[in-house]
Amino acid sequence: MNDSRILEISDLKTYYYTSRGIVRAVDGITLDLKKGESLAIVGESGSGKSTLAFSIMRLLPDNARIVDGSIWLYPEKIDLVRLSNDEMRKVRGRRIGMVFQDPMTFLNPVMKVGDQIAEAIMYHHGCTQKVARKRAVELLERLRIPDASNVALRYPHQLSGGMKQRVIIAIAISCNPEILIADEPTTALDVTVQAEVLELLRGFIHELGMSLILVTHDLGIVAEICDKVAIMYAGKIVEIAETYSLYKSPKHPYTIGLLKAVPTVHKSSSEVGGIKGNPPDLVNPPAGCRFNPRCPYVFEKCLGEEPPLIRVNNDRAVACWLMM
Amino acid sequence: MSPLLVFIIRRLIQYIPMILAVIIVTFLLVRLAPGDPTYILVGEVGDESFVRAARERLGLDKPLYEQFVIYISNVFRGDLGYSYLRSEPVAKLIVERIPATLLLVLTAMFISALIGIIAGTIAAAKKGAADLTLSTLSIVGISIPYFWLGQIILIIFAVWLGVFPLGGMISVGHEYQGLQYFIDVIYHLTLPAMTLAIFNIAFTTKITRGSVLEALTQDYILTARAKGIPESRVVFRHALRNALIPVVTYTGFNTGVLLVGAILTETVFAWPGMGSLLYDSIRLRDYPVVLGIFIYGSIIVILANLLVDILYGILDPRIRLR
Amino acid sequence: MGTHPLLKVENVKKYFPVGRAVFGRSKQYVKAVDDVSFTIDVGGSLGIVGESGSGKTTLAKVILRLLEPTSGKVYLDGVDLFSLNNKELRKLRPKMQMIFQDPMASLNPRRKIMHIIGQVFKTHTSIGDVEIRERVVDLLEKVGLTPPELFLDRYPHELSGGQRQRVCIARAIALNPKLLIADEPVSALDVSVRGQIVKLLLEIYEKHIDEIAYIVISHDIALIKSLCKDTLVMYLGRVVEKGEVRRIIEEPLHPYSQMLISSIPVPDPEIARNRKRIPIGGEIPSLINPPKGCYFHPRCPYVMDRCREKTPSLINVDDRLVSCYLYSE
Repeated sequence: MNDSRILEISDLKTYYYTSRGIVRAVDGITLDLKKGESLAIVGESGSGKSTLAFSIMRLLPDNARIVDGSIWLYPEKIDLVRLSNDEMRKVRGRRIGMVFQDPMTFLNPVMKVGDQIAEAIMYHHGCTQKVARKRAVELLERLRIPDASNVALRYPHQLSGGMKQRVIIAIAISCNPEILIADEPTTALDVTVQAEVLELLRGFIHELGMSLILVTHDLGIVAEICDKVAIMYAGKIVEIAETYSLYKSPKHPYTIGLLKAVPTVHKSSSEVGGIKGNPPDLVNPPAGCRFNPRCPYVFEKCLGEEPPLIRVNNDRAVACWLMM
Repeated sequence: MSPLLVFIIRRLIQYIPMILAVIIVTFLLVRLAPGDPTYILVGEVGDESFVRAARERLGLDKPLYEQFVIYISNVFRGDLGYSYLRSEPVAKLIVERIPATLLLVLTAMFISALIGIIAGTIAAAKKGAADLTLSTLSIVGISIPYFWLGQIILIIFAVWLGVFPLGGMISVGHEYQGLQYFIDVIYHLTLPAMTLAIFNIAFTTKITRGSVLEALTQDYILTARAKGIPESRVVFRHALRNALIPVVTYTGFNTGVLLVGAILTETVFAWPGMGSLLYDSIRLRDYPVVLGIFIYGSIIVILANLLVDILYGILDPRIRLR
Repeated sequence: MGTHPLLKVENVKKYFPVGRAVFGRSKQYVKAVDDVSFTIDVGGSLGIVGESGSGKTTLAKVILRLLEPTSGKVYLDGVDLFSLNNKELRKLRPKMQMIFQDPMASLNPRRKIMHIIGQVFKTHTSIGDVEIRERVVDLLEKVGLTPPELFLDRYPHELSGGQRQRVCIARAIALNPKLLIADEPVSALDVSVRGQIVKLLLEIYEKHIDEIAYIVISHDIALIKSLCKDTLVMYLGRVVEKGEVRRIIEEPLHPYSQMLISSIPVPDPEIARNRKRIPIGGEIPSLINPPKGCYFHPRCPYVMDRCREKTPSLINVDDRLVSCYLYSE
């Protein structure tokens, strides 16, 4: 089973150095991703989920640094954390593609969308602009954009939100990367447009055999397309499990609360719960388990000692003293 | 009609009141300044009747508003009047001088845009020592006055080193033709163009640096980096391309500043352009020439701004010219 | 309870002019809200669900006269809001309140919480400082900011998103409004905090049920369902369906409602992967140049000839109002 591994993150720590102090946004994350697998990283703002995604791409802001850990890319088992900038550049786009959140701001406003897609193809495949542009149009067609050859000649502001997001996806998959990282890919879209974009994502991931890391706060989207879910809280993974069993029987109190906190069409209003309190300040996280101030089941041990992420059965690991 | 043409015509119509305002303000400013051209013409010791006759001839005996009405109506007939001192039509005097000034100003503009944009981009992208050096240099460059800088450059390169001429536009006594003429002009142009460009290089560097830094924080830069393209392409193709818009604005605004700088520079280097003509004319109270140069100058500035507006449309596809 | 209409909205329209009228060319209009009518009884609640461009927020602002209407009438407890002058309107303001999506943007960052809420009493009542303080403490307790003394002297930026939204709610209910409109009240909040605010809004509603009409605006019909009994479904400024939320979710009639509901991600993989999906086509068209006839026809899987010609009017179907030719003879 281990041969099919494509990415392995071990004990990764990414910190931000701010005027308020050190923000431990990603604080010891260990994960692996198999070929063709879709993994969701779920968390709220400040959970470190996006920092984790940008750490894999090594696209962190100037005040952030990966301070410890490794990110192994298979089959060669190269450590992305230790690659030179030039070598890392060859991984980006070519082997790991990234889809960003906001189609309004993530496209260059003064460049034709076709050229923005063609750019990566030209560099990684060393082909002429003409060939790359043709390939860009093919990609747009594959993403079900009508009149693709015309759309390729337009500027971002001439396209609708859903179209722009498809262009962003086209850029990310333009060089057939083995891994696709999607950071809140549909958050900025309308519900009906979101459904179509998700459908598309799911479709070509299966078709091309890509592995997906989907970063989101929306448990609804996860249920639609992911095989495995990692729940992050305050820079740590608190629970990781196969999708079906996670939704059926969440184990960590935070996961339980999160699933209850969202009103859904299938729940009656009395079932809508929530979690008391607010997400913690990562400059000064609570001692012991970071969820303890909000946890309904908190007991002594939680206050003093941080629970490790322990495998509880074949497809699940939980970081909670209740499970020990 | 093409939208571009419609746009240009509409803009030009909008500029008419502006030109009118320029004429009114400069007319008043020039006239309210102390000094009387009559005495320069006839000398301090001329007798009363002689002075009066000169005044009558020039129309200076009429009340100011009457002079103004006459002037305005002449201007709209394309007549800028005669120079008091050189007995030549003002328009002819100025038109003769325009090419030299344009050569100087455009050269300085070109040099400063080229060097300033590259230096500013490097400062923004490299950060650290390169940034510190370039930023310091640009502050120094912005603070130096033209006339002082011109004289220093003149002393160093023309007097001490003797590698460039002291002034003028062509070598006197030679009748150079074709390529030789061209080289001779370049040879004379180097020092004044450098003098005029330094401030602009410094300012363009500063503006470009800020603008590129800002562009580099935008989300689309992340998209570009995530593609795995070389950082130089990220900086020049993605960041600089977007950063150029404010730089172009500045360049347009700056045409006026550059023309003022040209007056001082031309005077220092005896460059036969509008600037040195203006300097002499102000000194000698040659009102028609001074006014004429102001009118031509403002038309040049206005045309430069129009050019900037058109460039906008090319640089930024989101702007539709209206 | 629920006997007489507290809020009556009649044929409200809000058109925004686009482009300038040059050389006598006729102006174009964006019909942001196009002929919307409904009533809410005392103690009644109504959701307005729609995506971007649906006009849901514009409608709310017109009802509160934060925007001037193009035409139509709105009566609050019998008072014709559109006929009031500014002074009369100001007097009525505390009786019609709105809670916005971004609590940070609607709180003055330079004022303490005590001042922010106290200001309402200072402006609209003549009670003294000591009593104002008591009232503010009461309100903070009511919205779950306890102990209140801890919050009085804080600035908005010192609070979390959820706490700020509680302050906004406290301010909105300070003078017992008759009409409370919540516009995407939880969208800007963290998921784990949303549940708390939903609960609070429900509590407030229950407490004031004898005197209030309640409107919740959202793109999320699940949220509407947990807060309201009835809802409007809006598409490009027009109401396409109106009825009980529960019923619309169970059995949406208008093809747009069907598409909207089948698009909502369900946080349950069993349901999510086995449910029937309505084929989705196209995107929301621009309001500047809307399609002729029924605005939904370019995306509709059941489109017929007449859908392209004339806009269907709202008709009664079973327990609901629907604007679709599929349900008329």
